[in-house]
Amino acid sequence: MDIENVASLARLQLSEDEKIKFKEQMGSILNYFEDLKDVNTEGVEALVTPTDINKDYRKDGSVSWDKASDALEIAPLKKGNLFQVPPVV
Amino acid sequence: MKDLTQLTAKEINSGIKNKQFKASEVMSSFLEQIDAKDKELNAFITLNDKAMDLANAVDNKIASGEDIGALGGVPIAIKDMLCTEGLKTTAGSKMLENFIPPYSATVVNKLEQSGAIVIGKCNQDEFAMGSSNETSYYGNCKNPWNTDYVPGGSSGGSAVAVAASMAPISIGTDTGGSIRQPANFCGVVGVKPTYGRVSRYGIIAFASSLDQAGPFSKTIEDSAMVLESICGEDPFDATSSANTDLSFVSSLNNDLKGLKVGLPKEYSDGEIDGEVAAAVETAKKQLADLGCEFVEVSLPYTKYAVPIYYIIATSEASSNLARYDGVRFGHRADFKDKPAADLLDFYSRNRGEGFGTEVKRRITLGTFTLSSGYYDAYYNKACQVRRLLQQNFTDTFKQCDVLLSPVTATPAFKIGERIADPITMYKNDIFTTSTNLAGLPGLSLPVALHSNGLPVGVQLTAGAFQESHLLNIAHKLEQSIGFKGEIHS
Amino acid sequence: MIGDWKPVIGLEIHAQLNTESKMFSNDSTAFGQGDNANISPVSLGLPGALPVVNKKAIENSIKTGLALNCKIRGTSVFARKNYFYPDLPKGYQISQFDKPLCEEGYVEFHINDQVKRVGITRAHMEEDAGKSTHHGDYSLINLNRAGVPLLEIVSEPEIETPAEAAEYARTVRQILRFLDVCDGNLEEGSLRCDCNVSVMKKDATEFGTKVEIKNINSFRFVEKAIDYEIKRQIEVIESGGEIMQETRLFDSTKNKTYSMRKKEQAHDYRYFPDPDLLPVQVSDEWVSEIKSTLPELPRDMAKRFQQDYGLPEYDASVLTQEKSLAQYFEQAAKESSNAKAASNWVMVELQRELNDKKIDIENSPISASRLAQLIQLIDKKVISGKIAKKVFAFMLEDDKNPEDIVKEKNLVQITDESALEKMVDEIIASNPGQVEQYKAGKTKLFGFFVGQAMKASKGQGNPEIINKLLKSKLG
Repeated sequence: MDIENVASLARLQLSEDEKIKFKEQMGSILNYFEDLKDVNTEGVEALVTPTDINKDYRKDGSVSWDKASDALEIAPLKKGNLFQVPPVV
Repeated sequence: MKDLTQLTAKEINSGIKNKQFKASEVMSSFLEQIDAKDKELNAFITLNDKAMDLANAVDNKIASGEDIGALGGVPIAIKDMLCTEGLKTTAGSKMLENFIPPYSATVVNKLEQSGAIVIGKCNQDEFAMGSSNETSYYGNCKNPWNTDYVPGGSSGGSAVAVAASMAPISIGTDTGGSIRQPANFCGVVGVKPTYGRVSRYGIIAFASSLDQAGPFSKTIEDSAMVLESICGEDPFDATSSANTDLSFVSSLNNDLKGLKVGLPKEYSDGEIDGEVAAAVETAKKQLADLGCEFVEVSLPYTKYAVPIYYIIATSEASSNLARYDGVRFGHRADFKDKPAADLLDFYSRNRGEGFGTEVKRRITLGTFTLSSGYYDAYYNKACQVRRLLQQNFTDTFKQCDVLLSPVTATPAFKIGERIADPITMYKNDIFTTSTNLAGLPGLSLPVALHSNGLPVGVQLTAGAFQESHLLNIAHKLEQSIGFKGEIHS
Repeated sequence: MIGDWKPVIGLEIHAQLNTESKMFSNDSTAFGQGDNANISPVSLGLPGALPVVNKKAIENSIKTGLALNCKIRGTSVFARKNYFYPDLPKGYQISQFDKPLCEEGYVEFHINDQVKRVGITRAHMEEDAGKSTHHGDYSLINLNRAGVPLLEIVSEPEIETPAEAAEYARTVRQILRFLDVCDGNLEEGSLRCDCNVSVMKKDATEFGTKVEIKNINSFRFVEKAIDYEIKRQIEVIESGGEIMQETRLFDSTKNKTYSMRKKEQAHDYRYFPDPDLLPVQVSDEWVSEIKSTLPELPRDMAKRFQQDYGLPEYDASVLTQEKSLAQYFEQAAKESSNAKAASNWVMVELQRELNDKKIDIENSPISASRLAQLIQLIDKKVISGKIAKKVFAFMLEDDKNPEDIVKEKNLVQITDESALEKMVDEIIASNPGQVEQYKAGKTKLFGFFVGQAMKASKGQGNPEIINKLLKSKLG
């Protein structure tokens, strides 16, 4: 596994130590996953969520959230009511 | 007066209702117990400073003759994966060190509606990723039976809170065994409900298709009471079930005569500790005395459960944990001295600093298993085998009512013993992950003490939405085993 | 076709579905609210928050799919598209990937007197992201839009000219508005259009490298941007260069497309089914129920207008541009029993007035019923066509019905022959010179006498009677 590439895809800064350890561990973990290759899954539908409930969908209608200002309070950095981040362009 | 911390939730609730003692007396007893024990055990990350006020409010209700609810006045400890409005919720992570949720999980709302009082938030593995509580940013939580040992995980703090009588009941979450395994290591009851039974809304997601919240308690009856409070359809969770069979307490004493207990062939293979196997035998003998019949069943796909589990859980987690980016809440790196070079740098530093090593390891793994060129070989393949595994269980429950098995191959291990080796740690989940993959209800019930002084339990697993059956069998078994989970320290 | 080059154009239209609440949460979709006012744990992506699908968004999508002649999947799947961007709160966008709700449809429209059919590859549901604004050394994020329901309509690359692309987009917008599933407002971003453009040699079998042009906020610019892009691509290739697969933006002041800055790395969206949402199950019954509520679509309506009201094809297509316009026309046509007159009044006088004042037909100062009354006044010869225009002008100013205006302003046509005869006699008497010339053969002067008579009657004299009287008096 190309650890650096995957970590960048996941936006994760890894320490040098983590990179070395992960590289080795991922190898053996992926090796451990190899067992799955033995299973014949031809034509088997993937199971994503283990429930077959089928309920009605949410009826359209809006509700104003009374905790909206509390939710903005916990932002690490704001300007007015907007979230502030480094320049994105 | 009797030590109130030794009472069950049921006893506490009825004692308050009958005015034998006050909710405030109950609360102060537990707070004293926490004060006395938690420095060493580290089961709590945050205590609720409103707990006493809430207990007083229950006493006022009693005084004015109002109904206090089925869990009225009962302190409950909540795993730090569940959002509690106004009360810090960390998921055991530095990422959420200062996170005060502006809303509560549906489970928490329901418990409060039943009158329960949140006493504090429990320690856990970071984002529930771990089986020993050693990945918590807030330090190891310790096994009250022997503090050199892990309490299990990820819901270690919730198990310890009950085992050490710092709360009569608690809530944990179980993604691959995170309730049942620590319950087993700590000698308490732990129940993972059917997928969809309990709303996941407001519970910090680890793996969405596997996560379920459930109770820890000293008795099956207490767990049944808690489940009656927290189960049910939630309009805020599209995967929550409308199933209304919630008569858990009233079915506890049903007769077991003629019930079929399945013994999975595959669960007795491999390296199982002799005394763990003996505990299963003890349970089997008791169940036989209660009139149960036994049938050997085969679940061939369970041998793939751990790889399937780790692929699916890490894939989902890699996406679920993407929201921790330092923009709207959570940890943000200090960019004052060294401004972010670009967005990539901004995110990588926020996340790199906020997450611990195990979380990073799993995000890395899950990002890889979903990535272009590997999706089919890993994620999709795992989902396909998951279907076969679920079918295995569906077929098996045509032959029997519950499955009896060990929870883990060994009792609790020592702190530091397995943390360096992820695969050995992952394999610890060998008997528990299948239940989550198939979406079934399961529980861990303490049976005996190991010669090393640590508790050993058994696991019971039932078909989907068969909780009343499962709890009925476990309750009768509990009565006949008569395990006393009292810690002599 | 330009030389022996052939453009290949496909459009992706993002339509905001008309719902009161967002795709997966119950916060409002209202436009123009305060900063981060329309938020909830779900649209903020707070830990533990979960999506729940808005039923109306599914219904609106099915409606659109049916109107675009698509197949509706019995089981479609929401998938997560994973990428990091500050305006994307969860770090993934919930969209549909390999199992979209609608597939394999088409739309038809008229262009250059021919019917063009463009295939629809798919139409899938997804949530919108928030909005970032840039301020030099920082950016600010507003999540009011985050989670707003969108339907992304993807065409086949079957569009061959810039004009076709614009007409295709107009047609889709027209259908969306007829269905009342999207307001089609490009300026507010409730309709957005991305164009995929490539060029290939006429006889080539493989498509050229395609370029995506984003953020075009009018159909006129769709045409201009594609036109520019086609020429640019041909020029690049003919001068020995190569087309890069990239995203470009259109600068409407310079009439040019330009490259967005290079991305940090190749995208790997790691799509997978969203485990928080079960597959969307759409039964045949549900589809037929929705089908039975579909309104008449523009092309059908235009055909009917031609048949029922005898309108020319052009008029029918103009009047069905907007459903409200079509409804206005049809009411005026029915109530006046004179469709041709209604069509003329709506298309000429009314449209000009509304366009000048930038008023929607819904807010027309003259209702369809009143316009019908006006037409009837002409048809019953109460007023002349000329006076009718005056009345129309008064109606624009005053909220009154035409009959009252005619009475109030004393505009009733004078059909009393003796009164008119008196006027005519006076005119003849006071213009002896012109009468002499007329009689001497300068018959062109007849118009002069008519004009004088109309003037004397303040325009209200019945022109036929005046003509008749003048003819007999002047001999």
